[in-house]
Amino acid sequence: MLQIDNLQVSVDDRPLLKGLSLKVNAGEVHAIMGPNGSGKSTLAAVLAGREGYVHTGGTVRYRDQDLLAMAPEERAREGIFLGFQYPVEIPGVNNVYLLKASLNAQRRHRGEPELDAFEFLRLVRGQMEMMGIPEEFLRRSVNEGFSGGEKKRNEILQMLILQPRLAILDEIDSGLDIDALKVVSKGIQAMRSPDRAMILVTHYQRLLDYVSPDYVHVLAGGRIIRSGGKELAHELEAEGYEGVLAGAAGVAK
Amino acid sequence: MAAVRAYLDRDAFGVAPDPALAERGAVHLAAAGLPGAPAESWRHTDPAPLLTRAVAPAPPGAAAPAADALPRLAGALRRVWVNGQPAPALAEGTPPPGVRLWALEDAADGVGEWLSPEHSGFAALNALSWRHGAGLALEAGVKLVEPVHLLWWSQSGDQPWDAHPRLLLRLAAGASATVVIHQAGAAAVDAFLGSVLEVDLAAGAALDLVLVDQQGAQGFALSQVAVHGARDSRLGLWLLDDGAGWVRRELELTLAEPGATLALQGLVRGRGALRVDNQVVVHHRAPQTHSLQQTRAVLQDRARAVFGGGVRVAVDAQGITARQANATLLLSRRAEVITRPALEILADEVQCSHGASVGQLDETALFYLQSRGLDRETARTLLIEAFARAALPDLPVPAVLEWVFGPAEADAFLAATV
Repeated sequence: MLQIDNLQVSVDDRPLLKGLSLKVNAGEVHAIMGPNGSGKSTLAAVLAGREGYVHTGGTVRYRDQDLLAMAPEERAREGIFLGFQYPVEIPGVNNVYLLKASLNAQRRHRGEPELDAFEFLRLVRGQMEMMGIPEEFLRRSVNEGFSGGEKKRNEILQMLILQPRLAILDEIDSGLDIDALKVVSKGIQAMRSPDRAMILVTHYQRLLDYVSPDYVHVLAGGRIIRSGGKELAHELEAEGYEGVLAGAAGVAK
Repeated sequence: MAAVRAYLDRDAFGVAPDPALAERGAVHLAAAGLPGAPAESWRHTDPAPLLTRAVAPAPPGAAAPAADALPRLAGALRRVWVNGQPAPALAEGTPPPGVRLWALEDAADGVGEWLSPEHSGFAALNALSWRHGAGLALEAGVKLVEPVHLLWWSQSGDQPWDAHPRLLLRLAAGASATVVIHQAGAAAVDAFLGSVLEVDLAAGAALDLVLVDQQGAQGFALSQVAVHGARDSRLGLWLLDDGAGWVRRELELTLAEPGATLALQGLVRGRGALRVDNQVVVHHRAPQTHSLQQTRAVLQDRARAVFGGGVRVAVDAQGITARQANATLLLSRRAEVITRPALEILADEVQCSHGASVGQLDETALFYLQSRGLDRETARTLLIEAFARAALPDLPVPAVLEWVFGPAEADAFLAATV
């Protein structure tokens, strides 16, 4: 589904990704872990098409297309979803409108008829129940005045409604208490399917107690320096990034 | 000055409704002239385009527009003037008992009480030149539910023309009403509306007043507004500028007795070469009076908006609050905003604040919407409209927004109105 080869990206002439390679197949869940400043959020932003990053080398193929040549909205319509680390507040635009506009933009792109208000609300209500989101939430401005946990649950709600092919969740677990983490994890688990892939960008291992990844990658200095199964996350938890990085540096040399 | 001479010399309007007032206007206009730079409140607006245009009364007998070509408010008491002349055929609704809505020229008692001809050159010009207008009076305790829609419509005309509407709103004790004063018209009309509005709110009266300008690029509007609020009166004031021409408002809002309050919300939606200048002065004359001014502007192209926010607190007006905030979204390099708070505080126990912010569209918000599948242009439009609509959260007649934003995507902004 996604093939990243030797990707290099800079911001203001400062290289942030320095030859990152990663292959993600349908049905897989990949966790990308790493210390602060290792390039995790950069990778998520570049895959979703955020402006301001300069592509200096390497390739990214998504379903046999050149991903980096696509506008952010094309990527979204082609099934890429980015769950934001800091979901944006948009005063004056309500949640229900954004959800509906997003879903219908995708459906138009796929040549499917738009959902009418009734069908749409039926779809949304079911997912809201699962995420423990009250109905009045729909009428509120997007993320405005939401707590950290509400914002993250709203990201997952959007994902559940948009049903992406490739979901990239950037530190979806940050700022969540244990109850909210469970709800968010439940939403992520509900999305696992053989024709869908997920990339979980996270700093901590605790999310992975609830969502068990197929692969764990350690990102440091703009490169993936180690890959393994979910046991690698436990190793990181036990030894810390420094321990794992020191070991990897030895290997790399 | 040539314009002053031309206004004084012409004799094309027929008899003034109040000859004594007109005479005072003529005397003051001849003596004082029409103000402009370098007067402080005119520092940021060039009156030359107004003062150098031809002076001519509105052509009589303009063909009445088709009723459905005009903006309407469902259920409103409506009165219409076309090119400054009354158009009774377009009126709708009959005032209920206790409410008088009349042609001011038929009974002009009290005109000039709150804004005298000697107030300014433009006040003098209106006193001299007004021929038509509207009066609205509510008896004590009367709650008028239907909004009143006073529409000054500029129909196409071959020649430049001017008209000088005069309006008087008088609410007796405990009365309440909603009034929309609306200047709009066809795109290419070279018209000057030089209006004066006087508002008298008795004790406990409550007025929601919406001033809308949607004139075309050749339109000129200079409105002078004087409000006198007695004890515990409440004024809600909404300024909505969505035109393309030259607009200036001078508002003198007096909170004369304890408990009087004012809440002003404004939106300038500027495109093309729009020039809008709102000069507001709130007079806190008594203790425990409260004012709040929140204005926004969204400016594209070469549009220019000026906000003068004056607050004057009298020496014994203790315990007042006066707050002002202005936020502007600048969407073009050539657009311009000037905001100038001006506080003059003679009492010591007051709370006054002001703040202004100017910015561009939030790139992160744009990206967020794009990452959900909205194309960039749609995302831009959505953010701009959301910002603009949030300028008028308490608008008492939300249907007015449809004149500005159109009826489309009504569900997009429920959050702003719920």
